[in-house]
Amino acid sequence: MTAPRVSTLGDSAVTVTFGEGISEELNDLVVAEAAKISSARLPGVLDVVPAYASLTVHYDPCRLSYIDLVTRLRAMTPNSAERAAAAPASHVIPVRYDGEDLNEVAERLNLGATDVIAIHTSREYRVFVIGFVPGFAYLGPLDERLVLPRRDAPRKRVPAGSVALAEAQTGVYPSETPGGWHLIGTTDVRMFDPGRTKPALLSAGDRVRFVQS
Amino acid sequence: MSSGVPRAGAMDLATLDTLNALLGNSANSAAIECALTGGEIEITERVTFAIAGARCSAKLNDMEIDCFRAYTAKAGGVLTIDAISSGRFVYVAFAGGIDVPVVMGSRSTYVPGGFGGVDGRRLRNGDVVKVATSPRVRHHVADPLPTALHPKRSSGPIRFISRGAADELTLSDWKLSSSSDRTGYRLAGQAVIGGASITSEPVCPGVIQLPPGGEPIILMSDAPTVGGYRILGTVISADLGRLAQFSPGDPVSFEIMSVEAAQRELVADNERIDQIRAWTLG
Repeated sequence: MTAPRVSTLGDSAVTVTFGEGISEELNDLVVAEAAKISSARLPGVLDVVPAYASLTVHYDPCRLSYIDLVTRLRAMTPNSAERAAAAPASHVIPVRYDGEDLNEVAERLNLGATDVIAIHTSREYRVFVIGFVPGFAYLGPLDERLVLPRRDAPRKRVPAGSVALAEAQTGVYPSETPGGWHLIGTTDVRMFDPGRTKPALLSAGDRVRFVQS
Repeated sequence: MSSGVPRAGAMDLATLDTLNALLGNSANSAAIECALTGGEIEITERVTFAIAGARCSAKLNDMEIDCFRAYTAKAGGVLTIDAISSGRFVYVAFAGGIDVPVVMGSRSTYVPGGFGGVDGRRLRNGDVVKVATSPRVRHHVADPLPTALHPKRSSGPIRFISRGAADELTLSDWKLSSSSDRTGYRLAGQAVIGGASITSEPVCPGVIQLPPGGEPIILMSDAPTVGGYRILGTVISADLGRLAQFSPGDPVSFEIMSVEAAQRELVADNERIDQIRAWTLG
């Protein structure tokens, strides 16, 4: 397999890129490598952030130089045998399918609202990346039958707990923020709480199922 | 950052670090960041403080006060910071640090998320802010901090570590756009070709993005942790505080620096902070 590419993200972070685009296999690799680097507990490493096809290691250059870090990262070559090591965490999120856009979404997809709900709840999604706002998880892949482009005009305020979808992804808005996805339901699950030991409920690589409540 | 929480914190961290060292505070002690406008702080209990950052006129009661100098104010005193004339942020730090709860390991306010600091929001008229008691009684050096120990602020180009396509930045004339805030600073100038959306990657303050529109954005303290635009490079950490103090309309130019040289700047700045702590004990 091709070796991952290491590039600088300034003087206090490096990005390791494993491939391009959005794929479950690539994301599995990113999540496994991020876990490996985190558990190595290299002195000077502050945080490891996984994304779709890359991960970034944030570090303190006064404790660990660029060259030292890259040398250590290169020594940790990806190992496909390790990929399946840890079983991913699974979550079930109860949803009231009462979203403002549910009927419009159903109409545009030539489906009944109950079909949309049935399809949305029928599969297990994976968390590709957490970001954009605290605790926001990009979940996918969404069933092809539910794919729609983002809303033309984003809302200035999406209620906290809104369950939404756009393009090939679905997710839950953890807090009230602007948003351009289609709102199909609501959950009372607190996706993000800064006071918790683990503030974000979800992590990259986790599996999520929605159930109608 | 893996839970989607940005770094937040002081926009001009080098200035805040200097004040904390001057006052004998631990490195992660909280202070007040005043943006663009001044204000009035009424002292209700004897406290030692220092200010620094953007150029402004500041008074303790009727006495003009200097930047980077510890003063002790008695109960009933009034600290006034008049309009900021050059720069954007003035820091008011107190011996002991501001006493707000530690959230996710930090006392910073993250306003877009509504948590941290005082109720996750900007301070308002009438707010009462507590200062933690200094762990030990210190005799604070009342002399002004020697200029050699101030944050190094050149007036040259902003240095950045390139991701390979540096010409777009280094060969153009830029001005800081008025659409600049704690989330990001936008550059106004000739729109650059080559902007693109990418599969999102983790980002951090200092990252310079080129969106399809063609006007670069430099991510700052409150920027989201993941970004979907092409990355041109990242401003060196040692220059982020200087950049943060630019005002809309200011010309901005860029120069490439190697990561090794950028890290040497950071190490040197750390040594400066150590020297300040030694100076306060002398």
